[in-house]
Amino acid sequence: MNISFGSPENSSTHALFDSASNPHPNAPDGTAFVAHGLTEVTAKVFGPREVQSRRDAIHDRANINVQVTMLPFSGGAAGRRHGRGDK
Amino acid sequence: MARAETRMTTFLTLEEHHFTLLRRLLELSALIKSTFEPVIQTGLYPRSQVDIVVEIHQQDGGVLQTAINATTIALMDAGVAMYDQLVAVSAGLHSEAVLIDLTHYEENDMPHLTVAIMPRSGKVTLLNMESRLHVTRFENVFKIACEAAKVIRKEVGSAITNRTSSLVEAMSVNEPSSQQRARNDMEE
Repeated sequence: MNISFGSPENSSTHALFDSASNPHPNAPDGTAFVAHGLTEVTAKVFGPREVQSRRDAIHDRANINVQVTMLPFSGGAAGRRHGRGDK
Repeated sequence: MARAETRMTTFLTLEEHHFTLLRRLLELSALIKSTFEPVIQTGLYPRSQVDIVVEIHQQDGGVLQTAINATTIALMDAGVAMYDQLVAVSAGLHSEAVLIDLTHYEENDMPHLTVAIMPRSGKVTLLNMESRLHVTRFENVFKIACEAAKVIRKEVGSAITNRTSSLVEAMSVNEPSSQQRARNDMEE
């Protein structure tokens, strides 16, 4: 995706793929993709934002929630046999 | 307080290793949370939450180190205030040789650990070892892992700098004075 700035005779084009230029309402505030050799991981950060449930609110600091998911076929246990549905 | 939500569609197709996989993901979540608790300036955001979602696309060992490095960059990208850029590296010992950044087969073959350090202060926020390593050999492995973390810190730093400078350039094309000001700010 390209973004052009400036007048036609004096413009520059920049490629931007990020939440700032594509503000989907549920888009993460920060993303990163890191590969160490064949291990590839993406991280998405939402926040800081208001607590979703009052129970989780801490009066003087932020609450940190972490969720780790493994995509299917990632090479871990999730990639092994998918049961009877895959014959 | 780690809230781990699982996607049931993925797990419903598993017949074997269901609970061990779920437990491993919960453990990774808890480790990453406790690793970043002292790094993120949580005092700046009272009554707020920071949600980190880590997706493992491909794994060949070193999942925890990669997850931590990706989380650091994502937190920087989101603009969350941190005390330092946390980096992590895995290391193992094969007879007398210390190996860095192990693959899956290497992890199964030797005692290994994962260290996460804040490079500026040298403080360690995570030291994870799930295998047995003799205490006399530990220090050497640990020292070399901390050295390797400095190399990763450089890579993380340059990735973030490149990203920020391209954003700065894109935002200030028609304003040469603000571009220079922004460049000066960045060099500090």
